[in-house]
Amino acid sequence: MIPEQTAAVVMFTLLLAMVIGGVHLAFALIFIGVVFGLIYQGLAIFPMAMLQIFDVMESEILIAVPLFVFMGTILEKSGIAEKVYQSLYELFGPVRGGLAIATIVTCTIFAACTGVIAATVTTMTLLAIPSMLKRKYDKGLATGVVCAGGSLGILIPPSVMLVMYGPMANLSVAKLFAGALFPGLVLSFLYLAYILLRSWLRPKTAPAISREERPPIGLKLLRDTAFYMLPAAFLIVAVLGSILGGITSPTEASGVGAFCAMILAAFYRKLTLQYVKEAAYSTLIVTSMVFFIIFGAGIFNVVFLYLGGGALIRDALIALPFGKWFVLATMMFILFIGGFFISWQGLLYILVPIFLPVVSALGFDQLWFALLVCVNLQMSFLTPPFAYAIFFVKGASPPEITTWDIYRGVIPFVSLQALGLFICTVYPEIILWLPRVTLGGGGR
Amino acid sequence: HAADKPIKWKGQGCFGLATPLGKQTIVLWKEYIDKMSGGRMVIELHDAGEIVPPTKIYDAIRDGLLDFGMNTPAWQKGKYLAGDLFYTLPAGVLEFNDLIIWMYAGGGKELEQEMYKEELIVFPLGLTPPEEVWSKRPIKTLKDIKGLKIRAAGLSMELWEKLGAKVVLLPGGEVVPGLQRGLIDAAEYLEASQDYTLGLHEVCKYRFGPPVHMSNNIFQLLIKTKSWKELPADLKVIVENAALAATFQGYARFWMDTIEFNKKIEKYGTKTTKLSQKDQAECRKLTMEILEEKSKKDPFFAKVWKSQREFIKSYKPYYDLTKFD
Amino acid sequence: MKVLKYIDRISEWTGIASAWLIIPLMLAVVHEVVMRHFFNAPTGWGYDTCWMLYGAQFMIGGAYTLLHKAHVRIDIVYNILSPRGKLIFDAIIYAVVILFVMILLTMAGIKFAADAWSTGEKLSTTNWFFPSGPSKTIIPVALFLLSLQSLAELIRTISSITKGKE
Ligand code: NA
Ligand code: NA
Repeated sequence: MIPEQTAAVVMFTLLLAMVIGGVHLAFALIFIGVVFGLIYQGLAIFPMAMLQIFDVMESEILIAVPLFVFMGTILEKSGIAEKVYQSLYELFGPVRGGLAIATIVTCTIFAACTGVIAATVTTMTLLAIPSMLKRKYDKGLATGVVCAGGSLGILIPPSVMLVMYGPMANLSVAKLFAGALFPGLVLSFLYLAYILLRSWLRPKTAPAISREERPPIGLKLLRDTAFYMLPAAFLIVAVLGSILGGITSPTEASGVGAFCAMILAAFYRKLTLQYVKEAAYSTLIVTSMVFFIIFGAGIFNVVFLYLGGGALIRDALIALPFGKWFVLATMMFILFIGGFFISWQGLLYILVPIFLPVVSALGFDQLWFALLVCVNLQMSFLTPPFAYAIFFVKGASPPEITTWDIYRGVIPFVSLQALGLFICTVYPEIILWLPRVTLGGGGR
Repeated sequence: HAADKPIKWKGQGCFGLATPLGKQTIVLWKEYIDKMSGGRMVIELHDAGEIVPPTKIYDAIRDGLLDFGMNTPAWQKGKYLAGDLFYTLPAGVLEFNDLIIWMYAGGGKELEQEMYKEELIVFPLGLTPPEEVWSKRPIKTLKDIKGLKIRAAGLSMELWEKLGAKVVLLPGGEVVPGLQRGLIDAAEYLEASQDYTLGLHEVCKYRFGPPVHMSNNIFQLLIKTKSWKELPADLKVIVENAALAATFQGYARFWMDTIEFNKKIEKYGTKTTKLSQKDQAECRKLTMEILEEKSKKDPFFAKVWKSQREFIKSYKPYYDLTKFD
Repeated sequence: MKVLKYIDRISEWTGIASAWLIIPLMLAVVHEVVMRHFFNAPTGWGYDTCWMLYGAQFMIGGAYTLLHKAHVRIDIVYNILSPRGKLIFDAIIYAVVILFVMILLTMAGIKFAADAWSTGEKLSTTNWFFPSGPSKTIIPVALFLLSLQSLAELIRTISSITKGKE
């Protein structure tokens, strides 16, 4: 039998090969875990696999995931996004790049309402891309803006990514939420600055809407804008406000948020049985898919770490030359490269547990590192071939948009995300300030 | 030949190896075995949660995945209600002296083994100093506990409820944020060094003692039955006594940390109060009621509690005679 | 084939049933929030009930998710394959990677749940002490449904391969 640590390397290589080859991530993880477990641990792998599944089921904090997903899909059906985008479009339309700006601002607002990206990306693809194309926006810019802006939903709290990160690293989810707010806004700001600069340099790729189309600027426009923002503001206060303001736990807020989203949908007369049914079904598909990956990674890890695979990577990382910042950069680079091929849930549950002891050995702050990982994983939504944002945009956009338009379009935004990651690394207070003032200091 | 090859055991702790709860317990045990066995035995110790979640260590050893592990007997109470009794009792019913004598010579560790039957082998390992209770409101008498929302665990949950508090279950990481945002207004967590590190002094102005809930906590070392049976007799002695040595050496060092951090808490300006003797007696009375109620539910719980109760009764006269009041 | 239709229908209906659990889950969480914040009276059962609903939702939904081809995978290499190559590749995945492992895990799940029922084990997550049997039984049931659906997919793929030959 090959030695244990070599077997761990084989496991990891096999996983990459199977996933790139086209095996479902969840089933590849479970398969490799069970096969290597049988070889090296015997029948004990079976009760262990059961415990991994049961541990995911028993998690109080992970209850927030399906509820945030459900809330997002209900909002998608409720038509609130249309109203917000419409009013912002009228507000920013007269500026060069105005539609792209309206898109980013709408996405940022919705990122603070929902915990996933699917709803925002799909809705904005249907709304914003046709309106930008009609005004002769560059196809790359139009799709890139929706991919990048829509992905903010999983960084700006509430976020299912942060909900999953918390219990894994023994960090408070409420603190993670607080820590993610400013990094999310930094990215949003970088996107806006880029759009302004680009449309100023190359006005033809992002023209202002024509004089005839412009609504009269006045009290009515402002009043309408404010009116359409109200439902979103209501949700942000109900969910994010109650978590950061110290009233509810993230799980409680997810239930209340889903409930409020249904009330809003009812208010707009969109709460039909058909819509609720569709929302419940698509929530089921998303959550089952995600949780099979999570406990699959658990089964894989039981064996991989048992064989000493974690220690192998850990020691290799710590032994790297050029000091601790180089180690950090290496970990970030591994996540970035992994993001091309593996979904973020896989990266979060396979790589991050291995990185965590390295992070504490090097004396980095765990909360800060967590948010660097989450900013980093933003890029994975946009890096092909495995890129959720691109899947959703391609799935919902008009046929004239080719996959290459999107690939070309996301490049500047991935660069901006890397810049945002760098800024958060150099200025840790962007992450650490808000959790400290709202939720207290101390170890974690 | 075979004797030259060291025996390798693989296992996991339930607390971070770098924290005092890991360092002063299972890490120390590993170090003693390394030295005492002269390299004949190799302990591969994994960090908390690395192979299995901390709450699943018991199953992992019983099912044969790990050779050993450390956790608290209280986590098995879903299956063995009496698990709580081997961990700690509320209201000082078993304090350091009583606990140690009962555990090591008064039948405690034999009863603990009896509880788990042949599923695995158990030894006491890891002892922590008594705990304080943190609160955002001043607690001077038991009346102040009425309506308090407190984070608690174990047997003391029922005592808090009898005292009129609302008990909220929160994982360790949510304690400070929970206090900050008013989800709870009090918490029992650990002793001074861990509480300070977690930042409880930053969110609670007050703390009080004596521990209504927990005196000393004693944890357990679990060993896979098959691995234990295959061990040569001399190594068995080493494994068991390394646990004994680690328990006491770790306890003493842990206390020194507690003393240092208590000074820091006092310097920080935390207001510390103590319950009156009358209130303490009331807590003890309620705890006795809880123990009797639980005994009615589970025969093995009744058996263990009877052993403890009889031990305390026979131990008290000479103890009271010889101690300076 | 008739049996395929039956299996698909089982996955569809169990999926729909588990999808609707999101509504009682949401209501249970909201109820707990209201009881805790407005009446200062959190229930003893709320915590465990919530996670049991959520656990049943995503576990039972696994077969439905497979039926609707929604478990994520990358298709760059897969797309290079010929249509026949794709079918053979899928057949291997359904037979070896999914069906074989899921049957093993279903058996493990039966033992896991049977132990919980026979020992009368209680949940130790809260002071409610509800039996752990019901929630542990969800695991073998869900894995059995998933085995069944992967068997259906395997039969479907193999019949496409043989049809292609004719
Ligand atoms: Na969000
Ligand atoms: Na990617």
